[in-house]
Amino acid sequence: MGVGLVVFALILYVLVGAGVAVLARGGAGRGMAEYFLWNRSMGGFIGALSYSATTYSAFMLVGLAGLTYAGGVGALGFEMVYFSGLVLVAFFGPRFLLVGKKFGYVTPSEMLGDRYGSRGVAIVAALASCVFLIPYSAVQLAGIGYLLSGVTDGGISFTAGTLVATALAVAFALVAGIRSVAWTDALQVLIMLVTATIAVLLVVSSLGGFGELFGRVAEEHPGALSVPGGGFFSFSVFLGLTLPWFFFSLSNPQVSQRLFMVGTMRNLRRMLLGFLVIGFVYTMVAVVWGFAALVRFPNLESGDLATPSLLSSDLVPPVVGVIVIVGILAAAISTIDSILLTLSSMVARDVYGNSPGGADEGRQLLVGKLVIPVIAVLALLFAGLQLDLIAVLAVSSSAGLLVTVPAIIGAFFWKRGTAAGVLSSIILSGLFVTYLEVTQTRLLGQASGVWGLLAAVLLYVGVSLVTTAPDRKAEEFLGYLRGALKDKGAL
Amino acid sequence: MLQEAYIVTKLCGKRTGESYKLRREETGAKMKRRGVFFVAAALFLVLLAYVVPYAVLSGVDAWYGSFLFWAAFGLAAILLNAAITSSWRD
Repeated sequence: MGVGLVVFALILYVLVGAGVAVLARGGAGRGMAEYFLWNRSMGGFIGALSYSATTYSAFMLVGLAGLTYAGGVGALGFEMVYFSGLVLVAFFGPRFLLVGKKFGYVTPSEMLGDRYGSRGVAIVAALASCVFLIPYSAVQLAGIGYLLSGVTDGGISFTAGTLVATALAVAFALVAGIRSVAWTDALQVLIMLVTATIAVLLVVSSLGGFGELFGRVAEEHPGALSVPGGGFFSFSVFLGLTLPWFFFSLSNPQVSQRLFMVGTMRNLRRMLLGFLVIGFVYTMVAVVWGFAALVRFPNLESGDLATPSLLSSDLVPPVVGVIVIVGILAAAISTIDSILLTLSSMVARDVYGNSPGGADEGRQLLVGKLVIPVIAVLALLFAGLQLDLIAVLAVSSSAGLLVTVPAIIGAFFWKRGTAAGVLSSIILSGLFVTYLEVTQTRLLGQASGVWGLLAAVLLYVGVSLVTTAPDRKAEEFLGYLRGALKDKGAL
Repeated sequence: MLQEAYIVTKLCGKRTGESYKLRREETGAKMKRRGVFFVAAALFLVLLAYVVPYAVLSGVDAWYGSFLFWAAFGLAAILLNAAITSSWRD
């Protein structure tokens, strides 16, 4: 694929994105809730587009398509189990929304700190998110680097690709905070969804239609349409991949913070259902894309090469290919800028805000803005390590964040939960997961997420039972929710 | 308090103090039953996503096996979310 065409498309994308980001500044007020939460008045429609863009990243068309290529239909099951995890938003979304408004929370870690009556909890939860989400952002950057260098045969280097993506993500986050992130997200999710759908329809049509495609998959690749099939998706692998992703909507603050942004139940419902429709279409597109690559290029060295190979092939007209690349770039950047914004809000609100002299909101906002490029550079450095297996790394980050889930669920359902329980569960289980990932250890054949979650539950419950619960705060928090949920008709 | 009474009135269509309390308790019990039902439905649905492809469809190596099942499972998840959130109000 010609470098000139790719560069031209990138310039066009940058110009349109920058224009949208600048326009998003109109009507913006001041303060942390405004900059990071849209003053809790984000609309349901834009919420759905932004939630989708933040959730779905370069992983979908590069990583998930690659997983389909390598492991077959189990990749669809993996993504659909994640998808079904959005039912957690139906249960927890109203809770986040209501306590966020009532107590003025800006970040999910601030909520945990207040609920458990401990600044330490807020700080540790914020830092844990940084530790695991910076690698996750790096994975996105690496995805762009691989893709751009792959489709241009090295014409655009890995480093140049990651640099451009980092600069754009920082710019989109800094221009107007969540307003510029959400509006550029909306633009980007439309680009990524429309381009990918068009491309996959073209490819399937070139291969003779859906019947022919699936017929060839079944005939030429026995086991690709069943699990465990060829063996890639053994049950333990499937469980290890799906468990962290099922809880993604709770464990990942860049999406759970969205629940503070939509101020009404009506908008929350629109955001959830809108996301589900977009997610369903995008998942099916990515999986069919992976199968198409399997039929057309059956002997690739790695699943990560499936998308670049397909985009460079004669099945995709060059112009469409370039637009799809921009779509993948948009998917990655819309995820990274949201992560940057969320992490910076956590550092500003929970780490700086809980330090001596950090109570001033104006200063917190300034710190938040300064932290955005710092986190971006850290992600860029991590991406420079050029680690392989994009999908596995992304999942590892999720496995790390999974250890916060018991504390989040407990905050809403268990009065006896304590700060000591939360701290031990997040710190010790987080270290445990990191150890398992670094040493690539699979105890009893199970992945790190399974053990991390088990350890986090045991520590949270065990330590909470032998320490003193913050009774007054728990009663205030849970007592308010009992009445408010009933009034809102939520479960 | 006034606001609470207004909401209960709106919900139950009753106007006496005693029936406010009664109706409110009934509504609470109904919502609790609804909650248990939907939690059970969600758990059952997610369980199916693991059991059916690995235990029932592992020998069906065609599009109408696990591919179709997981696609239908995704649609069922959308419907479940729509049902759970249908009672939300502002």
